[in-house]
Amino acid sequence: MNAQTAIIEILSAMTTASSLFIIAAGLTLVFGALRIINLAHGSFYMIGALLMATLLGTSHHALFWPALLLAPIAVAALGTLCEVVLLRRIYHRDHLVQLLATYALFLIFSDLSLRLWGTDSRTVAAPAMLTGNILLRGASFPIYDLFVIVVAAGVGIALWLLLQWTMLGWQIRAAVEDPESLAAIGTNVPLLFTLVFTLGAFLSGLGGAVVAPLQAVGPGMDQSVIVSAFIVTVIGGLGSIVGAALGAVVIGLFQAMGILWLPTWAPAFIFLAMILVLVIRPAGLLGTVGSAYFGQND
Amino acid sequence: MISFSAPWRNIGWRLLIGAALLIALIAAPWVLPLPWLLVLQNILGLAVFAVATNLLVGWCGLVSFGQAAFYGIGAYTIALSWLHYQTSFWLSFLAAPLVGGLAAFLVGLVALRAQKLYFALLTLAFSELFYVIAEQQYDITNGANGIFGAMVPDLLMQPALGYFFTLLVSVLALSALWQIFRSPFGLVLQAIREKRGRAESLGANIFYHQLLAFVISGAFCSLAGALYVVHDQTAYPELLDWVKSGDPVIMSVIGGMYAFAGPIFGAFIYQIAHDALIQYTHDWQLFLGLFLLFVMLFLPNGLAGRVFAPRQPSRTTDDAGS
Amino acid sequence: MTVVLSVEAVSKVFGGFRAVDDVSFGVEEGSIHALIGPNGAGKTTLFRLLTGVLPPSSGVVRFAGAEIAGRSPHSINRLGLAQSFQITNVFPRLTALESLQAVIVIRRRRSFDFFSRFHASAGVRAEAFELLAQVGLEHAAEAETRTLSHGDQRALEVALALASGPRLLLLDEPTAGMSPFETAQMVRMVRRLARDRKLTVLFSEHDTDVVFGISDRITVMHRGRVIAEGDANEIQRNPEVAAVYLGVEA
Repeated sequence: MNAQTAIIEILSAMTTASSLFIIAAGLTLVFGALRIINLAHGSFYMIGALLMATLLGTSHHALFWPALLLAPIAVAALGTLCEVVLLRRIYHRDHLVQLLATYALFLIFSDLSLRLWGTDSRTVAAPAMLTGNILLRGASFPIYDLFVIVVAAGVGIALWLLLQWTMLGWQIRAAVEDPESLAAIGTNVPLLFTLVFTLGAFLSGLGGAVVAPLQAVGPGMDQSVIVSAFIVTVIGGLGSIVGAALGAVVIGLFQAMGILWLPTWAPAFIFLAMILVLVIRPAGLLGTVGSAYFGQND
Repeated sequence: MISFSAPWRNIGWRLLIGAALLIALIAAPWVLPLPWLLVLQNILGLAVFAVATNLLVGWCGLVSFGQAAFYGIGAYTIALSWLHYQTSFWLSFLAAPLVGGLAAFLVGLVALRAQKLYFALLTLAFSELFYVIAEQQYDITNGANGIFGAMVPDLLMQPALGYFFTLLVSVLALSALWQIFRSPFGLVLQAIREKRGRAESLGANIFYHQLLAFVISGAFCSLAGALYVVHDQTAYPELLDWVKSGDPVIMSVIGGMYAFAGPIFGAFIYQIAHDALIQYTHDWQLFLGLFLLFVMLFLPNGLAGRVFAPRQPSRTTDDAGS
Repeated sequence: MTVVLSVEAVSKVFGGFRAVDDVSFGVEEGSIHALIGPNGAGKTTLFRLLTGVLPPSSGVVRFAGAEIAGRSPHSINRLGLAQSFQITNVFPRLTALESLQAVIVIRRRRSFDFFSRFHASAGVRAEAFELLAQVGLEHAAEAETRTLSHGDQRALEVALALASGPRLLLLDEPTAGMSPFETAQMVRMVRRLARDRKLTVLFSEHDTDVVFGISDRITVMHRGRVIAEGDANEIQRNPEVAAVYLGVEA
């Protein structure tokens, strides 16, 4: 492999990693702070992408930029609704109930999406300024893919700023590390939880919206992305944003390697990555949350 | 808790009901119209699938979202052997649970290193892994199209005979599972479920017990998958995916997961509701989702909880509580 | 008299905090040995080191001749060491009888047996009922343990530990939260069990009356260290012990 191909492969892996990171960050945040695993997280992703498709049609639109903001916001609102109406009631229940309840949400969203958008796949066009390729050291690389990487980096920085420098971020970190302390210092915990879940939904919707021009948007997106998102977060360690980033990079690389060496086995490669990481480090690379979820004794 | 040493009156009732059910099941081919006979045949296989899953979910407290992997492996064992090697159906039918058990052993070695949520996610990922392999390896598995054809002998293609074969195998399988649930092993599994740390400090090697349960469950799930082939003469990737893995868990929960017969009840309700509803509406998933939410929020013991486990108080005990 | 449990210079450090600090003592076979000390003295941590829940940071623990520090809980149990817990740790949805049947099955190495109904055999049931009788729980055999009173659950706790056939029984604060009546019952039971089953008992306790009434030997811990050891008379006359307890009670 020459340098040009290598650059393309690595950038390609980073594109995959980027879209996965945006979604996984939301998933791991929700799990870390709320201790809830959301099987419908992929549904938010799909709805984000579908909304983009609806807002833009198939022609290049200047609406791309507003839509990129509107779609995730709409998804976030949907997330808020879910949290307030349903999830609040199951925070204290055991993980079987949480899994089945969010699985129920997944089913409901899947059905409603089919009703609203039908079974056809849609394509979403990128705006003119982001179409085409760019030359990097002689290698040709799609501009939009670079855009995705930039967005992911932006999300990462924004999250870091949020968590390190704001009151909300501090509260979220406290919720992840020491949930008991929150109530003791007078935090409005229900409000915090709603905010975190809304943020998680926003991130997932953003992931779907950003990725929409890169793939066929249609039914089944929710089902497949959730598994990749889980693998990324499990590898990185549930509750850790940096872990999600690391996990996303690991998966991106494994998938790129897979496509290069054994194309039909490529999708299975990410599972191999998961198995490898978990055998070596059962808590994930940077797992921070609750030994009760992967540890030894009661 | 099911009373193992029930007073004679309870045993009398149970035997009576059991006998009546058996007679009804045997009479079905002459009583039911063909489409419903086939539904019943499918339900029998699903009952095995659900009870085998409940060995993990209800008895071990291990929520696996990946048992469809083994269900699909059972189906694909027959389909692939027929497609590539023209193996005798009877041979591959016998092989199916063995292949499933072996796969479960390998998956269990990895997945059981984790607990609770991580375990659920791992099994979900494994289920999806097998789905992806089945879907992508077009040359071997025919990809998303699945495998169709005369993989089931003509003898079993006759509705009544196919039905009786399924009835026989599922009754035998459920009897074996009944014995396993009620065995010393079954009791120790429950103790582990109730208080894992305590069971360990009293001498139980948790990992090995759970691994054995996982293997047994995988083998019987594969057997159920093999029965599915008798029903539909096909194997396709969606049998393996994580969404399918949710089905037996749902059946166990709505039927009552702390009772042996709960998942059987759940399988009946689920599948009959499904087959009836899809004739009138495209929104089966919506109804299932709403119903599931209802059960999760308001019926912690499942629909049959009161019937099959009358001594159980209504509040649930969180597994993480001490 | 053989020493069945030997704790040698055992320490457990969490971060900078020495929960257990260079603790050494021995427990003689057949004796009732008490471990006392105020809250935070390190008794519970020490117990967790003995049962394999935590590995020690340093030091050696010898039980029945074998080094057990760092071994897994179930293998330590197999060697003959069983604990009854301070926070009741019973199997909520199992009946008292079923709970004991399960432990007996494990001890008899039939826990992987999925062919038979061994746990319901006459022999196992008889042994389970005998244990229930020993702790005064025959009336509660068929009750789910989560419906039992606190005192009954504590009794079952002890029965569960006994069912695993130990040589050494660890009791962590066996009379915690009990009324004087229940406490007296527990004391009588422990004495009877030690005698009838030729059991060695090591228990941690707050109630000094209980301790002085029943123990052959007492080890006193404070802030992770052993500050005194002896029989009841010696400990009662020890000024350091009095200071520690008086200081706490003031």
